[in-house]
Amino acid sequence: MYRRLIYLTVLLFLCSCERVIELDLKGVDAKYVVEGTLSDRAGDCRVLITQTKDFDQNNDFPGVQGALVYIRIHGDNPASTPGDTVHLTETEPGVYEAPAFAGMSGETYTLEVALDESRFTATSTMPAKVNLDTLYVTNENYFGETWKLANLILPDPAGVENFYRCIQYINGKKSEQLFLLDDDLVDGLDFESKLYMDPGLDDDERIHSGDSLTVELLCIDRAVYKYWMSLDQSSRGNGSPITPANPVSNLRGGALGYFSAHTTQSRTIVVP
Amino acid sequence: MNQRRRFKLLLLFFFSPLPFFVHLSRAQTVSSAPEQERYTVSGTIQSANTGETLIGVTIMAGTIGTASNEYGFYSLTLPKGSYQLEVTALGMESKIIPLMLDRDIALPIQLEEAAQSLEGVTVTAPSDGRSLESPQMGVEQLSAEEIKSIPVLLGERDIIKAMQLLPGIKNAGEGSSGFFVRGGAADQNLILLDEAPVYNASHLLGFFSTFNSDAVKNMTMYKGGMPAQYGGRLSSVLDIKMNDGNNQDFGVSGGIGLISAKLNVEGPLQKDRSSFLITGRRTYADMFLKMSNDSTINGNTLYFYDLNAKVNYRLGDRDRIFLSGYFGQDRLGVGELFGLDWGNGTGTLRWNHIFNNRLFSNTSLIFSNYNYQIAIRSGAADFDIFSQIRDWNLKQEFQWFLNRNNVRFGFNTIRHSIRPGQVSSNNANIHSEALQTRRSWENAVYASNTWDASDRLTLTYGLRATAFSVIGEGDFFQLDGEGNITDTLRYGKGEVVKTWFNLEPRLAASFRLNENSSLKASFARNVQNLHLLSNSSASSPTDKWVASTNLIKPEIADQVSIGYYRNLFRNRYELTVEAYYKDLQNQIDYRDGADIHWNGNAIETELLFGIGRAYGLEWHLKKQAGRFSGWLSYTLSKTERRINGINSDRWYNARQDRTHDIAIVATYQLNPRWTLSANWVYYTGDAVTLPAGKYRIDDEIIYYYTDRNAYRMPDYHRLDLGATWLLKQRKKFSSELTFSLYNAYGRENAYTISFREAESDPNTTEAVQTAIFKFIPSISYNFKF
Repeated sequence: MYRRLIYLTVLLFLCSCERVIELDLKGVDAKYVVEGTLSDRAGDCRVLITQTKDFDQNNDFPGVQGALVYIRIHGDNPASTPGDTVHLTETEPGVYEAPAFAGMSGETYTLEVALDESRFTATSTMPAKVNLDTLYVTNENYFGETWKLANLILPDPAGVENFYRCIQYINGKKSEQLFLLDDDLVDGLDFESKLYMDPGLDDDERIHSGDSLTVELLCIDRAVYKYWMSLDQSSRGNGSPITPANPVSNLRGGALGYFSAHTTQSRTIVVP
Repeated sequence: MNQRRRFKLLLLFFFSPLPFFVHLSRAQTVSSAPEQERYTVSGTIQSANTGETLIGVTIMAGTIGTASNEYGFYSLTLPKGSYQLEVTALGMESKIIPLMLDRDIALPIQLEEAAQSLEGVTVTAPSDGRSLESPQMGVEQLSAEEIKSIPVLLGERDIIKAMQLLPGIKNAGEGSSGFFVRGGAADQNLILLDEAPVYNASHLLGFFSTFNSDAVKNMTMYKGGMPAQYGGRLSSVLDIKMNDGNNQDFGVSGGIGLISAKLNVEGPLQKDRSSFLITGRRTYADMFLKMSNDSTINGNTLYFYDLNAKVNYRLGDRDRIFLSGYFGQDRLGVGELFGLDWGNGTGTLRWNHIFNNRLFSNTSLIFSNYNYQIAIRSGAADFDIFSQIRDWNLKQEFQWFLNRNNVRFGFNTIRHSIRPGQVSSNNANIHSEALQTRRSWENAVYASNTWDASDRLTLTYGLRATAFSVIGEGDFFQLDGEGNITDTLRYGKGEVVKTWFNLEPRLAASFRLNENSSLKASFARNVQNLHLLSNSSASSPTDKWVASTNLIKPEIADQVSIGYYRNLFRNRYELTVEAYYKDLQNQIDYRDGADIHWNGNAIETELLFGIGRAYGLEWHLKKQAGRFSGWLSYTLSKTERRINGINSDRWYNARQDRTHDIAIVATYQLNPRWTLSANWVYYTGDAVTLPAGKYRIDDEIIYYYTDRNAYRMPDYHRLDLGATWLLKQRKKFSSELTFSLYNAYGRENAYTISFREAESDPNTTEAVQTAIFKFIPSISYNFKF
């Protein structure tokens, strides 16, 4: 919301002079980046391992090869066997997958990565699946213009804290923004939510009549929610006044990134 | 040293000098004028034109003198004899009053406003509060009159922004009315309007201050060595007194500027006895928004208004009652979707009583309120969030003017209640919830004495004792090292959760080296029990005030400072050099990734604690006399923090750490009609955190950060120009036009630095700086009749 306020202020003073500047940023030793995902759908169990680069280098992040990657099952869900491990094999450089493996709600998983002398671990619990009931589009007066925004309704389960991440695709193109929801004020109720887009977006990045609109709903655990929330707040380099910092990760062992065990469900509509 | 012994020593220190003083002063009396009787001359000093009481007026009888207090009262005790009392004040004609002192004399004094009062900078008196004798240091004073000519942003005169041009006081960003004093945070400034604390002194996202300069009589900023009557914040006290209202004649003044209009009405209710004042201001930026054809602009709301009102009544010669109030409100809205309203309200009821020619009393009952309300109207998400901080405050102070001693003592009791957040909704699909109200009770007793130990040496020594009690009902917590709750303690209504006791010694001394110069030194401890939590570098109306709890300890600052004061060229120039070192304990910061808005009752789980230090050297050269006036200020300083859990527990530069900070302010009276002015500022860019590298997550570029605040924003500099054209000046009516050009050479000063895929090569990343104010001209019209 704060960025919207700043946006409004800048509108008021009618000067927002942007200029590319040179910064003398000191580089640091490369750090491993582990991005691990596991959903309740086979084919989503994937771990990407890359490394950080200095600011002035290009944006190709080659995969890091030769890691040993396992997911250990805690056995909280009666349907699974405690202590079972799933091995993820390297299918492309830096991409480790177990294509047949799907997770289960209520189960806790630990990702283990062994790479050179380092060992990284992270634990994540796959929450109960919440149904994405309805997806529809409304016209909104948004900073004086009419925008089409996606709306969704989901029946939030009572008595448990729920965290959601939505991913929006317009004609198959993923929107850059992170849409994060929690059930703080709507526990146990029909959770109706609008996916607000960045008011600075160009017209071709917005939703229009005739577009194919897909929203994917991920039910994530608290730690993963915190990861995305903190990443959005302070790591995207967007000039927000919030003090920049690395996102709060659930990985231990000194790598950047996260491990998320989540459920997934998508809905697609044609925008009227 | 254990706590008890320290306390004893403090007590000893505090009380032991009294007999010593009596002894010393008696010895002096004996040597200079044996067996001589002493009498007191006392009274209230007023402006002859308006009846406004005058603060900080110097009254000298030869080398001995005093200054009028914040209610215009003075009392001077001298040996029997005949004197020439020399009375001088900024903006007023000096006066010499012959006096035969052979008994106690009540002498009310009236001063005429100096000629050219609309632009009156032709004053030869020393600036208030900067006398060579006074041990008070680290003090800055400005009157509304003095800041009139300084060029300003969008034509809106702002007393706080004028203050930011003084050494040791730094703005909290481009165009911001927030400020940092000697390395302190923005919430460590106690901002008082007629004694009532103002919790959010900014309008319009910080670009304007809440103080309408038309209603302000006087403004004093203490950067160090705070007198014992002030407490509750670490870094500074900004004490603003409103005008009382003209008790001689009715008057109307006002102004129309680019973004706001102001009107001030004042006059006697009963001539000489009582008067009133009402001042209002409203911005109409939103009118411009509505006029715009651009639909992205005209659907929004953006304005603020202020209202100041005051009445006072004189009940005989000894009693005076004041009732003053302030109300301000900001409204900001994005179409129908989102609204944010916030505002302060304060009220002060004061009673001045003169017991006798040496004992003055002031009793104040003060109310202060700050709240904000967020309205979300977005389909099903239809709810309001309300938050409030409210104080009831009773203050009693006595001032006792003894021979060569000026004693102040009193007490202060404040009841704070903070409602951190309350959600209400008409939609059945949203829960209405409220965070627990936090209550606390803050008590203080203090005493201090200013003692003219000799013709050269003056000392102030004081002590403030504070007790801050955290009161139920509510849940309080125990945490482990990771910030997880290990135990919840439930307290009932009125139960005391924790009381924090602190002693705050305040010491100051001045030593007169010669006619023209003096040395000063001071030490002060300050304690702060209300803390503003903000995880961002820009102030937001929704930043959270929290009181100390069982886990949040009172913030403590110890500051030592020394100063060299010198008047140059027959008092036409003043040079002040001060050095300070400040040590800060129990500083607070958010954890990374803290959920700052709705994190339940256990706010402590999101906090980290640490220490800080700040030191610096401030130079101030000021010229007040003549057609050309102004000042040069330069601050060289360092400000650091060390917070457990941030930056690997190492010291890092605080955001407000600016190595060099320079301001030049100049005003030139070209002829009786035209006054020209200019100011130029330069400072080292703020400390910022910039990325050490980058990586990819979820197909987006994410930045990798190592050291907190290890880099600098580009250096900042800016020139502003101004001109005032006096259209008419008659006894009945005067008017003027003021022109300003903010950022005259169009420097693009970086407001933020952001990163994005390079436009030329999307496979690389570039840094982009955004500037917000470039050549902002403005014009405003002011009148008075």
